[in-house]
Amino acid sequence: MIRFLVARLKLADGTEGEGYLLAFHFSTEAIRGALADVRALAMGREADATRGIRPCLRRGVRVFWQHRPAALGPGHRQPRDVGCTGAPVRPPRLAVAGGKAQRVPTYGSGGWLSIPSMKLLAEASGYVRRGFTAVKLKVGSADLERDVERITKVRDAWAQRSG
Amino acid sequence: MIDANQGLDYAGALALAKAGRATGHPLVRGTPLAHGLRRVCRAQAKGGHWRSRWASAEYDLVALRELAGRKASISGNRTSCDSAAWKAGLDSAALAREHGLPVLPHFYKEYDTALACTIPDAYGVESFDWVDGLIDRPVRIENGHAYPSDAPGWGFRSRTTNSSTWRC
Repeated sequence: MIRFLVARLKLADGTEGEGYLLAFHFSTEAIRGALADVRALAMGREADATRGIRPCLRRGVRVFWQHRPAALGPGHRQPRDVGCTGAPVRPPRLAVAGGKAQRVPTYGSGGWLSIPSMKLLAEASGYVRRGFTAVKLKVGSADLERDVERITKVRDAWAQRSG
Repeated sequence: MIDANQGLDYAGALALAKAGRATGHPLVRGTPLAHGLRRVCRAQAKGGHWRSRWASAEYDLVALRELAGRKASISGNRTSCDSAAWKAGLDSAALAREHGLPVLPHFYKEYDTALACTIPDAYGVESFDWVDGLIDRPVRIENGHAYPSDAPGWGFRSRTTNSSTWRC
């Protein structure tokens, strides 16, 4: 199951932004508790100076950040991302960043090694239907031949669907 | 697109490339190897120390070029969008350009689309479709391309179901 915790920040001047934490199956209550600790340390800091808070986190909530409670599993570091993506809700990001291009190529994610071939092909077909022209496949199976077989099947199916 | 971050090392990538070539499915002709620079990615994700890892980055670039010609790409996990991370991302893009390689951000297209539009050599952005149901304005996809939003900020807002409010 994929779950997100979203932190939405609204400043006194009306500036609003939000950050997220990809929570997966980790304990949301534990994460909420960690965020409560972070809140006190984060207040008053510049919104775009998120890295500067890390030393404070290590000092201020040492147990959480260094002993990695099992309740949070490997996602224990992710609460630091909350707020990182908080951006002033003003001009479009493209304008802020000074982008010139109007579009970029994209590819469909997925292709996990845990997915059986039939599901893999269905996933690729779905991407073709939705206007994608490329898809990602994970490789690195214990059996090299399995990787080659999966790639071959998807490429053949893709050629049929998109052709 | 081949993503080798589930256990494939350089030797394994070479073996897979050779096997693909033998079966008529060359794996590295025109397809980037995401996570080819895993050490760089990790260093970037951790922040602050990645500059000290230039040596390994250079090594990996040489290895990747040997494997994939000039079709490999630099891939990176960007876990934050603050000014330092953005600067690091631009430095990665400069490194890629120096080596004639395209750039593959490997994060959410909801953020990467606008940022990738700022560099001339973006190879592409990754799409996790399940994000579409979690936000109010999904990224427009047409003919294999993602279009940056013209709405304020990142151009979307998360849909939340169970919220609590803190006043500071």
